[in-house]
Amino acid sequence: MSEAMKLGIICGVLIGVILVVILVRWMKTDGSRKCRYDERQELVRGRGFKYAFFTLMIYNGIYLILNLLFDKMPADPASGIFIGICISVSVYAIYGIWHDGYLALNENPVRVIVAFICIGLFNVVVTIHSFMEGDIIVDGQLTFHSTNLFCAVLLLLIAATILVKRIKTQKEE
Amino acid sequence: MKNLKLKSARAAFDFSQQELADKVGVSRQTISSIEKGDYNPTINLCIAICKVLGKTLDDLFWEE
Repeated sequence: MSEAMKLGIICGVLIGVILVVILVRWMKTDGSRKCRYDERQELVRGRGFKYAFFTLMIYNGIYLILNLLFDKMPADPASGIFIGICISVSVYAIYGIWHDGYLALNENPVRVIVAFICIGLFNVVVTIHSFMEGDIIVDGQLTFHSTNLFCAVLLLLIAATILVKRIKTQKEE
Repeated sequence: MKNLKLKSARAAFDFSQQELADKVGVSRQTISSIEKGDYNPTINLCIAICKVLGKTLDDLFWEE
């Protein structure tokens, strides 16, 4: 990897962190950084973490076995690890959303949905750019450029789940 | 088991689930879950609810 590319990755991560800090405050109703959860939500989040942890363990186990069995994996190590993280985070998020434990008491659901859709779409744009450049699949293997695609799918999935859950709750009321 | 005592005490104050939730510092879904009997609150939350509704723990949470 060239020095320019390494610098680009570091800059990208830094910009991402700054954006997340800004968005975290914007999504809160009281402008604070910290999320407030009640006791039932903490319980739901704990269960969600447990399911996500075991999902990641199972994924890593399968990944390890496939790695031993095959000389060439369909994804490089960076994307392979990132796919596992995305799957486990989605398990945690979907479980939390469906049991009303994902969004904090001081979070504005509409702003969360908007933020997730915006970041998701940004990742879609980056993915399209990488696809046009031919960087996503090299020598029949997914490269780390595909992480934007998985990030987009994860964020849009979370936003869609929050939206569906809100509609379901409103109908029940 | 559904907690109808809590529901009627809340209704007597003309509080919505959201209003009661805001007063005790929990989410509306938590109050809903307690009333539906899906969630057993901790003693701290029970006391907080009792204080807001002016009831005792026996009044709201003792099953006969």
